[in-house]
Amino acid sequence: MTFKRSLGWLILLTVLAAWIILAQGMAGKIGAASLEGLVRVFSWPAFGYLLLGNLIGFAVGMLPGLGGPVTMALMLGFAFQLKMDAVEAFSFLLGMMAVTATTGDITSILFGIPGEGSTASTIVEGHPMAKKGEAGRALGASLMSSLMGALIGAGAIAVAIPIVTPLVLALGTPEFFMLTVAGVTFVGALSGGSVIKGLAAGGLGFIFSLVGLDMQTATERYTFGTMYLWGGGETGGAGIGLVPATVGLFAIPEIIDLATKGGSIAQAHVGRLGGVFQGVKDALRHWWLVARCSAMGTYIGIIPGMGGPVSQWVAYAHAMQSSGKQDQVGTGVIEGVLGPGAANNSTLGGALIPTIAFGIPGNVTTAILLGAFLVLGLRPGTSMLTKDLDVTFSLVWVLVVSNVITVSVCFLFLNQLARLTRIKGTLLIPPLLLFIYLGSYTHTNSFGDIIVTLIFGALGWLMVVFDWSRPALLLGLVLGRLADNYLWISYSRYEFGFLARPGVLIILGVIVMSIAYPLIKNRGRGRSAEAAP
Amino acid sequence: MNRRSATLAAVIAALFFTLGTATWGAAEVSFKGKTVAILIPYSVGGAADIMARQMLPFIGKQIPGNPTTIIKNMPGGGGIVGENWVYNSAPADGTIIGQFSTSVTDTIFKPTKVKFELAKLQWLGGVRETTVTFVSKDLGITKGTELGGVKKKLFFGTTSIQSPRSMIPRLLLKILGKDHKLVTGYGSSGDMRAAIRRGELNMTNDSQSGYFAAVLPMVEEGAVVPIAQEGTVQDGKIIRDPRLPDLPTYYEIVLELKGESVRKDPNYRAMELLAYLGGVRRGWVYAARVPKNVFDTMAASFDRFLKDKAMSAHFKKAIGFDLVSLNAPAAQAIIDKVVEIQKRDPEALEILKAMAQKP
Amino acid sequence: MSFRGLSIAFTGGLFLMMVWALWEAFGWELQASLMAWLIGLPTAALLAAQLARELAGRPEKAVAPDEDGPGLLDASLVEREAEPLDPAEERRRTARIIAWILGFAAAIWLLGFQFGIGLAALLYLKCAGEKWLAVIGITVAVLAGVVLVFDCGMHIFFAEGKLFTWSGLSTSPLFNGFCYQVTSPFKG
Repeated sequence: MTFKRSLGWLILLTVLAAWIILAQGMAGKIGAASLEGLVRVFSWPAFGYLLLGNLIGFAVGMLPGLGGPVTMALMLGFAFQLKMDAVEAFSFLLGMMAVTATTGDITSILFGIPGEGSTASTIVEGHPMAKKGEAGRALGASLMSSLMGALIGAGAIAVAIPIVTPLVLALGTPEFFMLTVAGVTFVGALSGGSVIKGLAAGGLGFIFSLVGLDMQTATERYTFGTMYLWGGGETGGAGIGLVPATVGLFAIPEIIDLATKGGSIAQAHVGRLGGVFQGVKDALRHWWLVARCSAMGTYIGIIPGMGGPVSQWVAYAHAMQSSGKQDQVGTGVIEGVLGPGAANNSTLGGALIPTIAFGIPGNVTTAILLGAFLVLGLRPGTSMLTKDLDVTFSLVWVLVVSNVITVSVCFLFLNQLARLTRIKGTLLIPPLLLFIYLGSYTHTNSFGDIIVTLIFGALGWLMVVFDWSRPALLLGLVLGRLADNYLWISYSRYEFGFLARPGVLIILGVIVMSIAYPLIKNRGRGRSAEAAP
Repeated sequence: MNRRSATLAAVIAALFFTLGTATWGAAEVSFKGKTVAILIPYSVGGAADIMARQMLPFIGKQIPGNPTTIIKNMPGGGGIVGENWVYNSAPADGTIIGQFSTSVTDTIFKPTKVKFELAKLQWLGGVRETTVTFVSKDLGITKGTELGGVKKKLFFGTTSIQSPRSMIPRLLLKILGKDHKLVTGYGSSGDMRAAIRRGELNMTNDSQSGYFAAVLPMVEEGAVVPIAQEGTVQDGKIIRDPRLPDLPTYYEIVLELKGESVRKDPNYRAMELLAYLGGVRRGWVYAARVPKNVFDTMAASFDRFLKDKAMSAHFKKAIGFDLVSLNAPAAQAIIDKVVEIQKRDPEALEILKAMAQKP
Repeated sequence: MSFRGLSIAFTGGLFLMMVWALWEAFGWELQASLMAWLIGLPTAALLAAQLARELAGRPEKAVAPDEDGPGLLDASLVEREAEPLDPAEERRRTARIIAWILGFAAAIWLLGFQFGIGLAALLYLKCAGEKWLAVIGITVAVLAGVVLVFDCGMHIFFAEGKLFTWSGLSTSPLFNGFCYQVTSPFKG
């Protein structure tokens, strides 16, 4: 433990030293631009748009049917019509986007339905807390860690400016491929008692992700001849949509559970709603964990194609692993709320870095933002780090200010929100089913989405009953398509030589360790348990 | 006034009358109180969707009766689900306009899934864009004709083996006999730009809007060099796009290196076919069932929309260059030509189909 | 069948599905099948190992309520201690809610989103024995959510209910959404 911690500090200090050396020349300019950016965000009407964006983002995050990226595309037109200037438009659009992950966590915790695609992981530990009557504590912890994550993510943009080239270009496609495998392995290895079941669930997720028309070879993979399963989107996204699958896997079992148990979501009634303040204290007490998960979230945001849907699970796995409570998965472990809460918020900051610096959007959100950049006459690239540095910093400030405002407002209503878990279950079920079906239906606007939700609902319910890891399956589904593409790029570019790249070997080593570690630990424990009586 | 001039006057008058009725006559349909939807066969937030959303404020005011205009998304099957729906199931009253991007190539590469006939779609208009191929500075060349002399191995990146955009440069390399490796699987042009920066690729191409928005800064920085463009079809000929007058087309490069005889090469003819296939980058269509008078009204509205100065100013700001638009007859002419070449040159068509299967 | 039997059946089902997935991948060319093989073979092996363990009767660590603490399933068991539920009643309730979940989906399919979800909500609440005030209130709220936010606000493409298609009642503007004819503040 001490070794791990001192290694952590050593890495941190090395990075800091390297950064200071690189940033020397830019310090003065960064300071001035930062101040100018702050002034521009607080000027009128930009600040008004920021508040409006926050308000919309608040609702969009909480409502499971409305996703952040989709709403942002809709609001883009709104921004054009109002003829906003660059800072105004970003205050509005980014102000909206910045808070969706924060308020999405609230829905996940209270109802077990992901408010956003990137807040599904908060369900795993957060919703059991709500059931135990600790909704307040879970919400407090999640909001506080979200705020800390957002601040770290925003800070990362500022920190990244001098070192952006190595940061973004350090890893190539073969390493990205290995990272996808690593992500699924981490989450799979975490699966309660059985590593075998966890890894198998992850593998099944990978296979599910292959469903659809392979855009490389036009092969129909597992489509049963139906065009619905071809997949949608301009670039031919996966046949099984992320939202229908997530909602099915996580929300349907919760509905069944709620109706079967009767009563309300909160089964036990802790007098003071489980203590919001307790949750805040949890976040501050585990500040180092929150910081680590935020850093992970930021870096995963930088990697193209990945984003909140991935970073949340990696952070979850890390939080559970390092908490030493791997055997208590799904029982309401507070670390499992803090990790994803921080990571899904810091990811946006990370995703903005390559978008600003190179015009390379990491995910749908930043792709839409990039569109807005261009319409507003900003060209991403070096000019954003020199001439338009103040605009870049206004983005940083939008992230910071939006989250400070939203989290503060949330705290005011938190007790009322937590009280929702005491509403009678029968009254909640129709609106919850509406959100489940509408949320999945917005994926491709066809009834096939609802069928996918039902199939994954059945699968998710059976997985709960027989104790299989739903997170591993879902992460496999998220990462599978990317992994498929990364694998083929690596192979067609380097042939099998890609396996010998140093980066690939290092990640491979980490994967092997992450599988071996719980096995060795389990064995050790098994032995001591045998010896004990 | 003598008899001849009287006759002339009568003819001119008659001509005016006919023209008048053709343009503003009884055929005009009003969309007052209706809702006109542009159907995007892709998800919200994609390039096609965002373009349509920017267009929306300008189109509604050009349609008689000033209807409410909205966007409807119907993603699936890489666009085919929505395309099929517009052709077969959409209301025939003209309230659904399809915005098609890949319908032309879909009929070639996914013939079993396409449930529409290219020749029977009614084209309301479209926009035209060229594509630009660029290489990494590491190759040490400054123009396309030097491509054959490159010592380093070429790694050409694209999204998928079926990507029509990548086929022209692939054919160029094929005709030049230049060995190269096709690296496929990238999610977007952005991914490929990153791959060029880190040395994973040294050659790729991008749409014109992508080029102006994100590649041009890389050119100015010296990281990449543009070497060729697809060009534009005008009066049945392939010319350099007026917005990129200094960049030669693939055809010019091949002709310079291989001489006129290359025109007989089926690979070259396949290249030409591709230029026509890409002739309408994004087009707005009606199904065959929409009545003629409704089509005429909407085609005239799109004509006014495409000539709208405020609209073109907005798009120039957004994409960094002038929009080249095609009105209904121009778009229809290109599609007719595509249908005609497909019939006339099966050999070239077969080459393209084979390229969609094998690198 | 016992819980153990059902568990074995589920694992076996996953294993068979995996085998089928690999079988399907046989016909594909290398590029399409590479991932299926690379991930599918180890996954099939893991599933076979799990199946063998379960058949051999090795107890599942996570399910057994030992010192390891409760697993995923037990999150709900813990709180149930307060009011223990009769297993037969639990099974009945589970079957009932699954039927309702399917019923909501069927209603949407037959009647389209606006009518289907409204009717299903009304019936569900009434069958659950709620007061009329709550029934009407929540039904109206649900309907308003569909119409105002998703139809008017976002112009979601609502497919019409199959009943309308079959009966020939489908008049696109009405059944494509109440809001189809109304100007939206969010358009474009």
